[in-house]
Amino acid sequence: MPVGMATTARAPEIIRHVPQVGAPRSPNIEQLRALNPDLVIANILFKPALQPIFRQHGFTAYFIDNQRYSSVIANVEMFGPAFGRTERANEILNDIRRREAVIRQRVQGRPSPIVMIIFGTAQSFMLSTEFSYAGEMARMLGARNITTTMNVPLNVQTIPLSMENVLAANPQVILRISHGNAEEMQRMFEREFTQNPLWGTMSAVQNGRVIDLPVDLFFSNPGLPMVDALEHLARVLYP
Amino acid sequence: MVEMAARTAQQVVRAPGYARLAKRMGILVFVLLSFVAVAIISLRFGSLSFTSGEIVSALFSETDSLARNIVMNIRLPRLILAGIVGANLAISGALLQSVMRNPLADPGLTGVSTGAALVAVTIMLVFPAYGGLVPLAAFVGGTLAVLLVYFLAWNRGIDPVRIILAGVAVNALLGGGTSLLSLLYSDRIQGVLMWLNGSIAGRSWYHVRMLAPYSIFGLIAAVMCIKSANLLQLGDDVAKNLGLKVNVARVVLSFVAAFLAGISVSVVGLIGFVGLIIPHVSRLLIGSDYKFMLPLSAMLGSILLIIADTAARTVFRPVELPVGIIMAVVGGPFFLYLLRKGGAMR
Amino acid sequence: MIAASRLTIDYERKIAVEDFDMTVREGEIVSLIGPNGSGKSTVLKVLSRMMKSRGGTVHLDGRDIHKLPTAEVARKLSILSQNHVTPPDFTVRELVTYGRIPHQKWYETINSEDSSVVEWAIQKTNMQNLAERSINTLSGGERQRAWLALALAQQPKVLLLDEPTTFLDICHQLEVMALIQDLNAELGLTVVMVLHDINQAAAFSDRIVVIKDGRLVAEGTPLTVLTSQLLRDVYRVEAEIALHPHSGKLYCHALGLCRAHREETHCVSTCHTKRTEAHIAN
Repeated sequence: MPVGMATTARAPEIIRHVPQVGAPRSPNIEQLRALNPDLVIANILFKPALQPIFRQHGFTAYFIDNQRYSSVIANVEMFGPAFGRTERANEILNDIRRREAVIRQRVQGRPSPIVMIIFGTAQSFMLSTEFSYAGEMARMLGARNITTTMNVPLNVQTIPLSMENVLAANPQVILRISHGNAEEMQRMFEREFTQNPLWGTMSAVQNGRVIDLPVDLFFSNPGLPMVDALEHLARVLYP
Repeated sequence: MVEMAARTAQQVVRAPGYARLAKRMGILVFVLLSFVAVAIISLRFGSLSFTSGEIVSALFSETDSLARNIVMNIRLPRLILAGIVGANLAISGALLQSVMRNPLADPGLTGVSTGAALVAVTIMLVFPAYGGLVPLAAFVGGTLAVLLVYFLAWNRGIDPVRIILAGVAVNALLGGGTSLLSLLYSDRIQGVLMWLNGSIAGRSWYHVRMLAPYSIFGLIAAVMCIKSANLLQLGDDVAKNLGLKVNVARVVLSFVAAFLAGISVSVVGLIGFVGLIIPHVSRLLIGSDYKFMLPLSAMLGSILLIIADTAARTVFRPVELPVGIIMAVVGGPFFLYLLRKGGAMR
Repeated sequence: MIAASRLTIDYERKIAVEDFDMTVREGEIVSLIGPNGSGKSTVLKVLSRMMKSRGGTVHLDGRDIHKLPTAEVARKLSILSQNHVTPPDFTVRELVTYGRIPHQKWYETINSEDSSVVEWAIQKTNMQNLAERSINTLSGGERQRAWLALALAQQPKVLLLDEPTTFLDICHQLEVMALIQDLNAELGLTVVMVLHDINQAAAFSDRIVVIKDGRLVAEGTPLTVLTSQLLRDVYRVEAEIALHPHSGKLYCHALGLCRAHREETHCVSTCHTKRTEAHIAN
């Protein structure tokens, strides 16, 4: 039974009344204490910082990775039996797998596009690799990420790649992800793409295959609705 | 005729201080040639490899090749931008070191960097749609921060120690603001990392066009400050005695320095060390006379940043590091080396 | 030429000088003497506009010095302080050239007239052989002369000197004093100097101004001002004043401390009869 959640959590209707305990990176320990939870679930990104604190205050904590597509699946598989809701978990997973199958059929046999995923703001962006949320989904759909073709040595999620290599790779599709209002985001990117002559030389721009991905689905893993994201991405990559 | 020329030459050579002047001009010429060499290297190398022939044809013929695209749209504007920003930051540092009478002065002391960073980060994290305003807004932020620092430091005059103290306080405050935003929007911080570490990546002709006119204005202003900068070196009392309005001079020099740093930070983000190290090197090579030291600092600053930018896109290719990180990695040890050498000189 | 009237000067929240008047006529050499901490350097700084006084005025050529444009003051008045900050790599010539700045417009650089004035200043201070040396390679005395050359290059009408001979050996001391006299005679340069050495003051000044505890004690020609009583009151020393048999100049020979009254600020005149001999320490 969830008794508390982070201020940035996107909670479904049922638990929206639950008290908030602070930012994911630094929860308010006093509030946490007051709620006296049996289990604290936190983001694995903040484990180094939070684990000692939780330990000190005697909280039982479990750190999950829910950034990647595959991790969410794994989390459902784990939490289901852990909270005694195996049936519901299986329901969810089956639904997901069914939809995945539909998507896979759709894209089967289609030529795989070379794709570049821009993440950040127009002034300061990096490229999402296949180890990122959006990148993993792209890979699942058979697209080829330009970062993969470039022998990037580290398994990081985003990487600052030289524009020279980007131009040389000349992706067929450019996907843009940022945070904030979708319309404003699009305007921001458009301005950069028109002002900087670089972009105009890329075939993706010339062919009109530059797509802004919806913030709520792609900025970070929304959890179970990620299948919606997958479907959207499939439509975008294989029109 | 020849005799006259010979006699004039003799006069010039025998004129007092000729040797020194010759040495200084020699240094300037040498550095200028180095600048040209570095510029050529910067065009030649990057994260993609081309042959020299390809580079040359990319520059001079209208071919529609990848090489031309990269050289004309990436390397050339970045070269120019790095050169301008390097010169701006170096001059800014040099002027501030005169104001503070302290060789450890860096443009960051005035608060311009943290002010610009706070505004830029606010826009990028909270109002990303207004991203196009970042350069202008960052500049305004930097200027306001500087005004705040000098307002706090003013006490019937401007004293270097008060400026430093006020600067530390304001930097802490504004830096705290940026940290707070990073915390609150920790999920979005990816989007600003490149900017915060100073990056010329992705900058193009648009940015050059934006920066160049202000830069030229700033450089002209800096040249007009040379006399005051020289006088301040002799101590407040002597400067006053020789007719310099010391407080006015301090404020004017500071604002020219802040202006040059502010426009640079607004366009490429935070780059440190250039303003701190280059004036030192310049002084070691050519002396403390700003008539020579300032132009040399400008050239050395350009060279340094061009090299750093080229390294940023070459060393770990295809990954591109923010140039500010290269500066920090190179700058730190180099600065320590300078401290030791400088100690020996004293 | 330069006059201070009713000066009250604060220094670090205490009153350093109170109600001080001093007038220097054109072409005069005036020495300002007094014990340590009497405020003489402070007065000089105020005269040169380096410090501001809390009350009173300073007039240069009849006009309020604070109302004059800075550049104009720089052309008329020059001060040689005790401590100097120099960038280590300046040569003597470069330093002296700075003295020409008050005479240049902001966009002008050195012209031939400036060069010749610089050369003249270097010759006058006997620095020809050191002109191309870096300042930081010079001895204290040589450095002092370089800074004097800078002051001269300003071609001032009034030259203020704050203890110009303190760091010099006896030969250079006399050189500087002779130079000052020379400039005074040749150019009509008005000189105001703060000196420690009473005999130098006596030998080289037209008038002497004595200051103690921030107040004017006496002023006039050396002959009228320097008396045994004054030296007792101001310096608390027992001294013999005489005219030197060879030079004809006034000189003071200190005999010893006024022991009995060392703690008191003012020596009582009754003490000074022949009985004083008993109190004097050797």
